[in-house]
Amino acid sequence: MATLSLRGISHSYSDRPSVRELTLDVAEGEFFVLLGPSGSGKTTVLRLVAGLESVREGAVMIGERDVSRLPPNERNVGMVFQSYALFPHMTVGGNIAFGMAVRRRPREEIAERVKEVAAILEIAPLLDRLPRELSGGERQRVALGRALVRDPDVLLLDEPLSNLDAQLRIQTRTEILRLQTRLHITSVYVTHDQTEALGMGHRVGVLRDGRLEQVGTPQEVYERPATLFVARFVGTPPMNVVNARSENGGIWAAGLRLAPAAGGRGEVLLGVRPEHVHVRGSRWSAHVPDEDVVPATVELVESAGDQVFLTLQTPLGTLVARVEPSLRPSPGSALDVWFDPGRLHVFDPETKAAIG
Amino acid sequence: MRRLRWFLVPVVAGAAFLVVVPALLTVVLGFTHYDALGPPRAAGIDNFRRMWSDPIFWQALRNSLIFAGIAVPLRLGMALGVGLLLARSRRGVGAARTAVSLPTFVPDVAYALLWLWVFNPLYGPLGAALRALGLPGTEWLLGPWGARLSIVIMSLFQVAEAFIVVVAVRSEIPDDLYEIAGLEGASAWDTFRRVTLPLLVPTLVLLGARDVAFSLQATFVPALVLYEGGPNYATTFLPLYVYQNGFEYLRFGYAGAMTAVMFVVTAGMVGIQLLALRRWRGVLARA
Repeated sequence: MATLSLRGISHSYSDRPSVRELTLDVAEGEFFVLLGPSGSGKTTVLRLVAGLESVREGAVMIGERDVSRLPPNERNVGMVFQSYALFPHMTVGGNIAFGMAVRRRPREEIAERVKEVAAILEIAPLLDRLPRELSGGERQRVALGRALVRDPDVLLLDEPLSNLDAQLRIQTRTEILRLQTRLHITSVYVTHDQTEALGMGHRVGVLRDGRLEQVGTPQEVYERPATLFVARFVGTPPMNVVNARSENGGIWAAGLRLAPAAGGRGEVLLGVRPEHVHVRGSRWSAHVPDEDVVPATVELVESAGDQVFLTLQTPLGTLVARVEPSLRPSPGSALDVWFDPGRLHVFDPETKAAIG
Repeated sequence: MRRLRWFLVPVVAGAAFLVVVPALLTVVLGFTHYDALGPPRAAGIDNFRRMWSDPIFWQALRNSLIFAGIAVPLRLGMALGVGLLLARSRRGVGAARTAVSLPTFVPDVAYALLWLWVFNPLYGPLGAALRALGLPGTEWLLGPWGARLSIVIMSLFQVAEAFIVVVAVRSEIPDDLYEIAGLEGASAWDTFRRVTLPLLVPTLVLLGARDVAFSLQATFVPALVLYEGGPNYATTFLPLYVYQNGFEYLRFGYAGAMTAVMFVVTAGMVGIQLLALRRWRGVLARA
């Protein structure tokens, strides 16, 4: 167990930069999630930590050790690949024992460690099976076992749930969290799934084009997105964004005063999450005042079981609002919506950074 | 689908008329005396009895088995080694792959004539090179073991099919298996022994089985061109002896009987290898 810190690391594939001057500190025993769309460089960050890509600029520190120039096997990291990368010709036991076998550990020690890990992951009955005889969830656990057997300082997980079906994914998520809590192992978990990131991470780092846009607790990232990108990438359906102007002590769009002025002046981008688009008549919404309301026409009604999303046409553009399932306006009907001024996000249209 | 079956007709018909029927006729011929001048006469098992007491037949069979025993592992090793070296795409790999494949596609007789010159003890480049290094030249290739060895050496460079298969199968092994091996600290040798080789074994066994069948026939041209079966029958391999009996001594019945025996020997050796593969798979998984 150790801290992990990345000090201004950069990396590029031929000429295309994939990670740019990234600095990040992961605390001992923390479960850190790197969240980003595909191509954002999140897997590359993991590979840089593991030593599968070489660090040309900056440093990777595990505890007090600068591991930037060390070969992968001397960094003492465990890694779970998205594909699991199990050796197809070896049994589960053989896969888990692989690392210790090539490090020429004594037979008894190997057998004992494999047994321990198998017990923790509840895969003891599978030890003699071949990977092709396992289900996706079982393979995933074997890959985890192989990563854990060496007692790594840092555990790296590259989208380990993406090959599982939806139900198994949720179950496995819980298992990984339980295991991480129990072993208290410093972990970096890469995903493109924001639900996974918010649900699992002690902290989340949102990565875009090889840069960290924001690092914070799931709540911070969700409630106070630092940039427009984070605001739109985190949360489903994504945050509504409309063009607005900040002037005369208010934020205006389509002739309506939507909020008291934030710091910015002139053109701004105004963001509001679907649950903060208050709909008159919805029990979930705050009381909608009579003024500063936006007239809207219902275009689509999408039910998600315990909630309903309305796609609305308004003078500000298309907006999505979240309402309770019992409120099911028919498409084409008119209603009034209102933005809770305390829940608005204002972004600079140039820098796309949050204002205020 | 049904109609597509008709596309099989040319293949099946070709195989039947050019392979299966002649093969059966050859076996039938084995039970006759036939010199191509008169009609075949029934001979019962005369030819097989004669084979039993023909020292040259036993010598030829032995030569062929020795050749297969030495050449097949070496040829597989060659294909495996060069295949793994050239499996990753790097600059110049395309040209190197072509160079490795080329000797296989040279006509056999031309290839044999080329080696006849290379091996020539008086003015061949190999002898000159060896003498320049202070080693004896290539005169030793004229002895029985030298002759056999030279035919093995020639065969080592005609491994394009196995080479191409090794390259293809190796590039199908996912990179992340090698990355895991690296993360765990496996040396190059460990990686080869524990990852690459086991994953290639099924392929190598199939290539080996094919090469056994192939090597029992492949000796024909070089043995004929370089040594004409000598010295003292050292390079009289089965196919050459079959050819000599049939086309030089006009003993087609005897040649047919030997061909049938050769077929049985080949099938037996291939069968043993396939059985060994099944055993191996179980062992590997637990290694």
